Amino acid sequence: METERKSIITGKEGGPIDPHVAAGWTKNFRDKQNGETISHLFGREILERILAQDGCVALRFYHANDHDGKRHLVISGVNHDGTDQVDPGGAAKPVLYEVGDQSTPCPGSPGCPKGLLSDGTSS
Amino acid sequence: METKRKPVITGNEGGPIKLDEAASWTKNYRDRHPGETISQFFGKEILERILAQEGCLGIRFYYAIDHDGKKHLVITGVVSDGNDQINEEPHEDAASATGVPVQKIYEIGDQSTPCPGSPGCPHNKLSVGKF
Repeated sequence: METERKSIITGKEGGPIDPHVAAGWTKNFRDKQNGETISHLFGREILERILAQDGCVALRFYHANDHDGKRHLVISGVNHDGTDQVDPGGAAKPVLYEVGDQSTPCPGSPGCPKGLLSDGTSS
Repeated sequence: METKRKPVITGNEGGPIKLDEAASWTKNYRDRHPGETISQFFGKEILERILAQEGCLGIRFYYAIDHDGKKHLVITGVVSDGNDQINEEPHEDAASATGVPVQKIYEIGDQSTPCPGSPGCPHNKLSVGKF
């Protein structure tokens, strides 16, 4: 029997950060992970589709590596009790939730920006 | 003079992935990074505020590490030419249609909630490999 989890996710998780603090932190990553993917872009369509799923109050971003070692972010909707909106399989009434990937990495894609967060320069 | 970049972002970037494949990729990450943060999440409010910024066609997620070595994701809105929506300094835009300078305020997000280490971390195929 599934134990009911408490409602703990409000949708308010996450907040603003000063651009220069953010730039320092993205630089730390680039310095430590020389040559790796530094960012991923998801277009608004998939983000809005997942956010529109019934009960979705947040998006969770999973760190992932494919079988060639390439980095990905896998995204799923999150319910108010913190569970992911993924189809558990075998459910009496299957629910089709979308899990997203195929984000556009930088470097390696058209439109990668030069700027405070990507290379520390002023855009 | 700033060179104008071509529009390359459509808003369609990213797409669905099969759960089993996603589960196998998140497992790869956990195997390679034992004990590390495996996921972060942002509430709907900040995501929708960024998506509502004028010209925003998507959100870019930057890997980041703070000065204590803790992992973060920093998020920004992205416009059609791929540039991030960032205010480097408080500045006035050239002029609005009425000739009155307008302040652009773009939000950059952080303070996402990591797993493990936060209430509500899930147990499923993506987080531990099984339901």
